[in-house]
Amino acid sequence: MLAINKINKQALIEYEDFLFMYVEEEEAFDSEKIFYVDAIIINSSSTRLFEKVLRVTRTHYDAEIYLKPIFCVQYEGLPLQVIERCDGLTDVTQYQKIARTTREIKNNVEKLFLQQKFPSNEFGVLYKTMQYLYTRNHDLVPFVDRHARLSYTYPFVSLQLEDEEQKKILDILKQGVRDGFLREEQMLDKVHICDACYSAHHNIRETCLHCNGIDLKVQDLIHHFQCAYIGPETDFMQEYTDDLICPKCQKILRHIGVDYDKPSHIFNCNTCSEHFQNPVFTYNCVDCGKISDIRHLQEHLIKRISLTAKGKQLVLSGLPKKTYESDSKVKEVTGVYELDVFKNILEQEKARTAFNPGRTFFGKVAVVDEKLNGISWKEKMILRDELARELKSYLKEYDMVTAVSAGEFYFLKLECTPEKLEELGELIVFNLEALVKSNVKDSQVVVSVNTQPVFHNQTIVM
Amino acid sequence: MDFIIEFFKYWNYVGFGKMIRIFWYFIFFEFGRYVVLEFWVLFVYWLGRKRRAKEWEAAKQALYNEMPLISLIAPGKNEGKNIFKLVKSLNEQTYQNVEVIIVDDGSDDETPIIGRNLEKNGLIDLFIRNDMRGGKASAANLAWRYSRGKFLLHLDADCSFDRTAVENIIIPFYLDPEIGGVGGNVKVRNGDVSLCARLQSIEYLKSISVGRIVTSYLGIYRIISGAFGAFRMDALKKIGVWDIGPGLDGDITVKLRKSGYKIHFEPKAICLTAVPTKFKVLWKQRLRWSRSLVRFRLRKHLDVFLPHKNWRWGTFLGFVENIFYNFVLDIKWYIYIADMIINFSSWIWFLIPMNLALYMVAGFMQQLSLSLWSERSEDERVLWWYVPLMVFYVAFFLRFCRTLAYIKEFFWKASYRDPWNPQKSSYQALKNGY
Repeated sequence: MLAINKINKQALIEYEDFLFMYVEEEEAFDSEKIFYVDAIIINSSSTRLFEKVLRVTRTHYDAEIYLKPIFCVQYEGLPLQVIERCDGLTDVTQYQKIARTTREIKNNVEKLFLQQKFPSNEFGVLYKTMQYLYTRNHDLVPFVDRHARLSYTYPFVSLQLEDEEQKKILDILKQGVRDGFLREEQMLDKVHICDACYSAHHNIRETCLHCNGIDLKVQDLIHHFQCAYIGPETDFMQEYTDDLICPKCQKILRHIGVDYDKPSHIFNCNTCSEHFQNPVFTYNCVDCGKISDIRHLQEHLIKRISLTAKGKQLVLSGLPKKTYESDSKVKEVTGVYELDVFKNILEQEKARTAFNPGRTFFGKVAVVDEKLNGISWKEKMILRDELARELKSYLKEYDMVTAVSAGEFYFLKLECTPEKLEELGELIVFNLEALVKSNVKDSQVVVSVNTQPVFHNQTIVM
Repeated sequence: MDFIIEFFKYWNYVGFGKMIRIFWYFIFFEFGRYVVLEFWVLFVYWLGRKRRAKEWEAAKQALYNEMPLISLIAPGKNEGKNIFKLVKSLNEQTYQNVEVIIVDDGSDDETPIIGRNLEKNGLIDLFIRNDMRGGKASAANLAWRYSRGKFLLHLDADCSFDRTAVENIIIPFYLDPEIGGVGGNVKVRNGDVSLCARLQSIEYLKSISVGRIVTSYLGIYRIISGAFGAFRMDALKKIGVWDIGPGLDGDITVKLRKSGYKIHFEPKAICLTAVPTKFKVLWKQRLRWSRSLVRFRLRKHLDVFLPHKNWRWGTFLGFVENIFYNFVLDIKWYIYIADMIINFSSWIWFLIPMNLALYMVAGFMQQLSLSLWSERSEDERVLWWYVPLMVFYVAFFLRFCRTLAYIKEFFWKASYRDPWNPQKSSYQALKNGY
């Protein structure tokens, strides 16, 4: 049943109907083969190897890969970072258990809607996390990690963001809770993070109220009942005896509660010689070096997180079309309409021209540039919005524009003459070309404007 | 109407000689001391105003040339509601080289929060809190321990000050280097709240604003008020600062005198304080104040009457005047009343109105002198209406309170059981004869 094969250096294990990637050393790890295996087994006590495999896998864009099960062979002293982030500890004889877990995860992955586009990076991280929780069928339990910026590492999520972005994890999870996809369970801890770099690693100390010095000495105040003298303990202490002698009346203080008491304490700053009772507690951030009042530390609750029914539903059915297509709408500008709305208005306008012909014009603006093919979809959307706005700015308030894509726009010009329309066309061509050239490198854009009058019962091809 | 005719007929018949026999107490002790002597001293004081003004300017110049640090200390318990007002008034001072130290003597109100906040925001220099109450003296001593100024001003937290108050209370130290302590002019801020406060307004004007000009001029000034008093720091160190109270302001003044320092009253250094507005509270306050005469003058500092290194006429006479007018005459008043009842019982209904009339006349004369000296005479004009009531206030309310305090202190040492001081301190003070 069990066969260990090697392709190049990479060891593979076939067990039942599964193929496991078996990693023992860094050099032999072939990341390109992850896609073809069902799970990864790491047999090494090296944290570095684990980190590498984990990072390559979990940060991949493909859900089939970032959700891949990873197992570790049990070694004595294996750090918490490994234990808490792998899908199970095993030994080389427990393939049955590995196969069972792999099967469960694989079945769950197959049920997922493999979403590729997200409204934002943060939502992408949230979505992937929900997928991870669904496929693992357990809660997200952060664990203490002295190497983590927040002092806590969230399995899976922490890997999705750079070290300096770790604070975003808390925001992303909170957003998930607010949206009803996640639920906060038991509180595990509180972290206090630097307001500059969001690190939870800092040194807290008492500092002088006046000079921020840290060389402080605290002393009890002694009150001698008999003569009402009160001062720091050193006023009463003697060089050669252990007696406490009152500097005012020279009496020996023998018995606390009878001769004297200690009603309070006082700090003395050895840097500036000032006295005070209430030092300022400051923190010195280990990561960014910021020194500030501890009141500026941000408190965050570390909680166990679970997936809600709504969250499960989301990862099974994917984002509603509206959500990820929201970017395809032109950002709201007065007078710029969606194509369907524009078509309706055009029909109404045609009807209106029966009584007022010759003063309404339909225009088509084409923006042709090969370079536009080289920019991303998101950039195209931004450019489209920009061009639509620019186009609308040359028209009157009651004129209408619609944007089909970054290269195709229509407009409806009301109450206009052919002469004015010609001038307007030139203006649009010149300015839109300038706008594209300033946004797209090496652009050879050609903008053309074609207009036609609108008549009753006329057919306009769009 | 018949009574009035009879009244005048009677006094016409009695004649001047017998009037002296009947009103000897008033004529020799009250009118002589509080009207004749005071008018005479104030007149002489007024004559020296130009010389004093010149000396004052020179002293002021000397103060500003040196610009010494002045420590303003305000020890107290449960003064949270007053602290901000106090600090605001101190920040308005014309003399600014000051440090403000507030000691909270085990308050159970919001004082610690307010004090720490003021310290954190730099409005005061040091706020010290004793979690266990130690009494006013220990709180003042603690503030002194951390004071760095050349002069120290002891303030009550429920006071506020004229803008020039700090400057004016320090200048006398530059008039005479032998001065160890200067008392400020304490006036009533809440005089319009009740009749009780109104009467105290007049009393403070008489006994402090004008009375202390006279005693200071005569060199027998005996109490630097705890509400507003200034001390030379070295003098405080020499005398061992404050001892357990109550009555610690009078006690420290005597200690300064006994150590050879002069004491001065400065009428231009004006402080406004809040006085009790109810007679019941006032009664308790005066019981405490009056007990200190027995405790400090007749017990602790009785050695003033004996010859010693720093024996001075001024200190001696100040004690004599204090004991005579407050203690001896207090007893004598009861003898006088008995004399009236026994020897003039049939004419008592003519004696009482005459007695009251004489005291009222004296009261109005004193009020006239107050108006002449007060910088707020316009505001204080309303007090004229209350002068007749002062007869009853002084003759009965204050006298009965004083008598009771003397008896309680003389026979039962009541001041050592006063909750104003914590029991642990009072016990030690009693045990060690303080």
